[in-house]
Amino acid sequence: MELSDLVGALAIGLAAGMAGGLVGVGGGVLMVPGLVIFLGESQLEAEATSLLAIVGVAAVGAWRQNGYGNLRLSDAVVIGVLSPLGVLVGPSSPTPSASGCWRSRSPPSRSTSPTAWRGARSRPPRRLKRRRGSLAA
Amino acid sequence: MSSRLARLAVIATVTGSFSGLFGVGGGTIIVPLLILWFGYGEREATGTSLGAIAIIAALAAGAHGLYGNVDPVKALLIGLPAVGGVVAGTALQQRISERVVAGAFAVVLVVSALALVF
Repeated sequence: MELSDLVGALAIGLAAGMAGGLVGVGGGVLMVPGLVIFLGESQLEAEATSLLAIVGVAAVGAWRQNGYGNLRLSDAVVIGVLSPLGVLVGPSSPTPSASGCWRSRSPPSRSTSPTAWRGARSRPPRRLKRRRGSLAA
Repeated sequence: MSSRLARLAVIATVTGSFSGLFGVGGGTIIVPLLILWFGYGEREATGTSLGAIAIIAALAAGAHGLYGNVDPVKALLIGLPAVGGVVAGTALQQRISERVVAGAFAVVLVVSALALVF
């Protein structure tokens, strides 16, 4: 990762947080392209990773807004708790953006981090060894 | 089911779908609906939206994690400055008029729309 990419990612994160605190959104609309362009994530991985980042951002933002008397906790909990039905529609269906809305500045890499939670679906198919004397040409 | 609960359930389902499909928290849905349907003020809507988003994003990130799509290190890399930004943003929001907050929200909506299209 180049320094300019790191600085770009940090700047996008800061801007996303500012937007979140100012207008009450999670900031994913900025984080997703930031993750793709500066950190080399695929579109789907960027969407998933941004959601994890948003958890912390939204929790801290809600805590701060609660301090200012702007949080109606019961309504927030009802919306949050009743959302799983809609949430589960997203990851279990083919992503509409699989063709890639955003393009990375760096070459695509699947295993970008050793700590990444990589599931079976994202692993490349294993190459089979050819046996001696097999009929395959 | 009361009318209020039903409307909250509609907001929740639409927001959850949006979050799961596009990887955003859903505030672009929650904030305007809380203002239009429940008569929230701008600041209350944004505060309540962030509370709901924390839960929604956690559920969606967990679901994406099961599919192996989440990179916690990169989430931390972009999330840490974002936490600093959200503290600054909420503080700034208390010092400006609700009309300006509404204008800023409109800008975010336009940016969101452009990001989804292009």
